[in-house]
Amino acid sequence: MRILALETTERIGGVAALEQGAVLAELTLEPDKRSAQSLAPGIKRLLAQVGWAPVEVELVAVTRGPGSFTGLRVGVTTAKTLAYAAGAEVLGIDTLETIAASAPQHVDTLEVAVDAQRGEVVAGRFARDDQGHFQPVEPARLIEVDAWLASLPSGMTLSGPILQRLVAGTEKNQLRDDLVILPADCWVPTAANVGRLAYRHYLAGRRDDLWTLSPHYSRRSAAEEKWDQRQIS
Amino acid sequence: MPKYILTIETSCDETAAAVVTEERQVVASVVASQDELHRRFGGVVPEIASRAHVERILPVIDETLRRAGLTLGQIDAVAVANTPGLAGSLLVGLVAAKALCVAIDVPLIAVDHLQAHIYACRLAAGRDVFPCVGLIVSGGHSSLYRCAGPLDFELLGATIDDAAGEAFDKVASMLGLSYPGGPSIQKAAERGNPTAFNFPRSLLKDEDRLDFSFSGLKTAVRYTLVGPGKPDFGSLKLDPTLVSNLAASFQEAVVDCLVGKAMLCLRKTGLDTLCVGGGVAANARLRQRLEEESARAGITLHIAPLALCTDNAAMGAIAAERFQAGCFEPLDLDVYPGVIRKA
Repeated sequence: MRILALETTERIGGVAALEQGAVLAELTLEPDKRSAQSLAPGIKRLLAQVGWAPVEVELVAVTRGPGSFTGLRVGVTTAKTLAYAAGAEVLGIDTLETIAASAPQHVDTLEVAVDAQRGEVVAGRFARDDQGHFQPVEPARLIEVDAWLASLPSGMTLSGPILQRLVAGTEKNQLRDDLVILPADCWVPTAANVGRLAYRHYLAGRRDDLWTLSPHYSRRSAAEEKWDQRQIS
Repeated sequence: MPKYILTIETSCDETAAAVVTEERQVVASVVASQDELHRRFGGVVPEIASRAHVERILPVIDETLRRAGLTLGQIDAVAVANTPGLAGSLLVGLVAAKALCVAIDVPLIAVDHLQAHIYACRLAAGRDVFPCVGLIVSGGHSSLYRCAGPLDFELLGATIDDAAGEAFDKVASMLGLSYPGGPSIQKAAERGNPTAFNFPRSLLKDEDRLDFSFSGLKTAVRYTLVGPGKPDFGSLKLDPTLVSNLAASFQEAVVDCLVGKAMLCLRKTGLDTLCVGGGVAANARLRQRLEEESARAGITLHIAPLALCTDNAAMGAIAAERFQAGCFEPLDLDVYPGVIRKA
């Protein structure tokens, strides 16, 4: 099965081509352009590199969130439109699971978090099943950064792009020293892992509907949240 | 064999697609309006609009092709409005267009949404309308252009604060009328007296400027209703006659400004053709007054037909001009959002 995998939820996106779950090629999108600009040229370059015509793609896989709202829209819209035009299937892959898949072999349990803006993160905990694949321990939660950090048990392993801020950025020193921080190259989702997960989920029977697949936004629009607050008060 | 162009339009809160030929024939046109999603907020919420575009773009494209009786393989180019508008909305149309171009290996064409609004007049006229003065009045824009040709626009005047359609929406909200404000104010105004209130016509007497300002007018309506201070429109018990008179007087003030500046622009440029497009161009009183004033001044007037006033992709037929000129874009084309304002 020929899979085209797209990842645009983080600042620098990527694309990958996989055959039977094995990565044939992976490209990082141009870092000085936003994904709305760089994604289509990246796909075109990738397809040329592996010698596939667009109609030969059988499954388009894409990170469906959580992540930057704009990045999600760029990725999901591109994936669905490509799949529609190429007659391919489409599969949305969870961003947190994609990040977890980058963790080194010795890690059995970890907590992954991405920035959800307004002082909050979307965090999820994963543990390896008996085949070594990470499975969510509980549904991902939207939580304030401080509350999330306070909730972590001693010795927990952390990953995810939020660490760029908490470890290196302006908010460093917030992290307790009883937490284990994975190397920075594990923190972001990669297109290759989107493709690998898509292949595994597809073989396990998971399917998404081309017409209804939509991003997993971590929150509603600010206008809707304010509206609800007004109705309550 | 005719050449077919698929055009996509997502600049604000309408998800639209059309198929047009190189000869500007509209083969099919589909518009999915989001009015019902934004109604309770009294205006377009950009994040809600962007999310709805993601859900609707593919069904709209598919329905357009179905109605055209064409397959994607018969499409020779894909065009998309990439300026101006809401950034998040424009992006959805842009990346969908690019994905199609990659998948079926056809060129990408960029459409300027405002030029397309004027091109709706060219489309309806079935003949050349250029050079002309272009007046674009919508929820996001109120601008005057010297249009030397379909792709050659020079901005001569624009609103310095609210767009005309925005003022309609806000005043409708004050008067307890439904969203969108254009049709509801027009309806209320039918039974009202347009001279009941003498609302300001900002900048109208300034013959040196071709700009608009509707913020003061909006405030004048508000003061008439509730006086200065923090308003509480929710608790107002409004007499229907008062609402009708306010709506008619407000509408008349907007129309005076739009018609007055358009005529001034024609005199200043020496052009004898006026093309009018945008959602507010659907307003019956505006159309009537434009017809009267144009007839009096010997101006050839083209107003976009009602179906082409609000946002649509049929007006993307302007892409045929670029197609014929071989004017295609690279796949890293960006969006240029924003609104046209004069400082």
